[in-house]
Amino acid sequence: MSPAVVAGLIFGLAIGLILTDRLDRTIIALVGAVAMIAAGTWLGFYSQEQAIQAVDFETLGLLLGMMILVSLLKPTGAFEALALAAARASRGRPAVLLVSLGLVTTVLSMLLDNVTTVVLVVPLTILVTEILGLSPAPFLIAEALLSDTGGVGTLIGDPPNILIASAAGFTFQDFLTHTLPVVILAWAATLGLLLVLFRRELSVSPTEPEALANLQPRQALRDPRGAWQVAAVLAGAIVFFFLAPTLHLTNSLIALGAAGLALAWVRPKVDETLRGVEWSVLVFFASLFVVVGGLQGAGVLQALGEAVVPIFQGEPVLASIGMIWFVAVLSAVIDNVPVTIAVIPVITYLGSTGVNPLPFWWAMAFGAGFGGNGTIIGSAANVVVVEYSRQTREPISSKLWTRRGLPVMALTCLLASLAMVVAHSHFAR
Amino acid sequence: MKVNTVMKRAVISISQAATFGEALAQLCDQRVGTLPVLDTEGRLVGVVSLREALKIVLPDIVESMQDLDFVEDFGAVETAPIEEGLHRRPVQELMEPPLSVDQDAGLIGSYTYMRQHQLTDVPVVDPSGHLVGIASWVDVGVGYLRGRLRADASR
Repeated sequence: MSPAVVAGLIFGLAIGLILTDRLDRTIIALVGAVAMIAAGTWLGFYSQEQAIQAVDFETLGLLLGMMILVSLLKPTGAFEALALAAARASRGRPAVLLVSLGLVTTVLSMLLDNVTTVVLVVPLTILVTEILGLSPAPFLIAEALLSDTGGVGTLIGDPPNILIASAAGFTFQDFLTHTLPVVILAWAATLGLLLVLFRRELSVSPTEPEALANLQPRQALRDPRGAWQVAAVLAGAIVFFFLAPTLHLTNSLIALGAAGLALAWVRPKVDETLRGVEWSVLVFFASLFVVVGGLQGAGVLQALGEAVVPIFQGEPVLASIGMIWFVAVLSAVIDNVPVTIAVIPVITYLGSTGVNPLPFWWAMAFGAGFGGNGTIIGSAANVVVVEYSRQTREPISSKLWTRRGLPVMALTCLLASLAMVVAHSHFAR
Repeated sequence: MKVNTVMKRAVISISQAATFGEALAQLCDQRVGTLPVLDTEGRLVGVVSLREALKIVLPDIVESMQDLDFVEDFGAVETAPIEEGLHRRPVQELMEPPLSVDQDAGLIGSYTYMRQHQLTDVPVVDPSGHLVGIASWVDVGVGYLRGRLRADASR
């Protein structure tokens, strides 16, 4: 068998297994990585040294640094306090509650990864809806959809963005000037659509709206000092993300520096803090890099790139829109991280053939972020939210998700497509 | 000393044909923490405890969140009626397993059994599984301590 076939088989098998959801995705990726190196060494298309070079340490470092900051911030109760304050401000009006909790979720998801965001906000949402005697489902679905949507707005908001930034050399500002404006529009459109789709559930008057006035957000802030310390470091890190290009710093260096500073300042029990880091995610990423590196070593991605070049050399606006929907549909049925890691080398190859790759990078960011909204398995945040909903009186069904999430995916992808039409020259520089 | 010397013989129990709502009413009307469930021949087939009943009635989120100091008013969680469907469910579907001790069990054996299963009351059965009494944590603990105190006095 030729190297390309073997590498393609290993990759296809790994993705297929991830799709079946029978085995943890990290285990599949790790075994796939080892298989790829073994096959590559044996057939001579991929060595261990090449595998190590294929790992994007810029992405891993940035993820690790942010995970440490989140792990420090979690036990302080800062997120709970924020969510409770938003809930109290709604005065028990369901539609206002959806918007206020949605706003908190979106802002948090721009700074933190989406799963962390929903893990922090969802339990409090369920509690608040129980206090009000409302069905939690509309609020939970809205939070998952808005965290997926909000994450697209910043470099650190969503793993695909970190991957794209690292591959394309995009800065923190680039995301604020390119994806954030679209995300703000998409956010407002998503909320508007959800308010319409859930109008029946949201028109119910809670029996005791005044109960929310007695929530005590300050009580939830268990460690105010720690919360301010980590928040200050996080704010500093964001300032440095802005200055990174001028200071010639990498984002991973900034994130890891911030993590080190926060650890030195807060001085927690380090092993407890590090236990809060999602190591399985880091291993998953590293393994996928190695697997996709093997595909590249065997020439599969180059062949794929050559095959698609004619499409991308044609009408650039149409091709960008095609990329949004192609990545979105893939991201709705598979995890968007493997999709992004696999598509990145294809776009890099396109760039080497003289095609301007910039619009395609942004198209991929939109597709990967908004596509996850379409199905429960489309994003890890959706899966977590549905898991939580099983604890409630009205668990979220796939049918309900499809009826609410799919229109949101279509609407947000449509908005991104329109943005591509209106501002293609902006996305091309 | 055996558990049947300290147990209560008049036991408030419920039939396995009852609904969960009836079991809840019995817990409240009789102010008991443990309600043995019996078959038509008086054999112990299960138990409804106040602790597990509360877990079923309370929203899971209240059970799963450890620290709820920030909530002063639980609103509908306190005032909403129990769902009709839950009321009508057969008690057999929601009862706990029939953990019990034999009437000839000793007090220390009963104590360690209750501790192991975190029971506040333990039904006492005869060899054929018929309910003959119920012993509370206080019955067993006081019975044991009394025995020790008596031994001290006779020394």
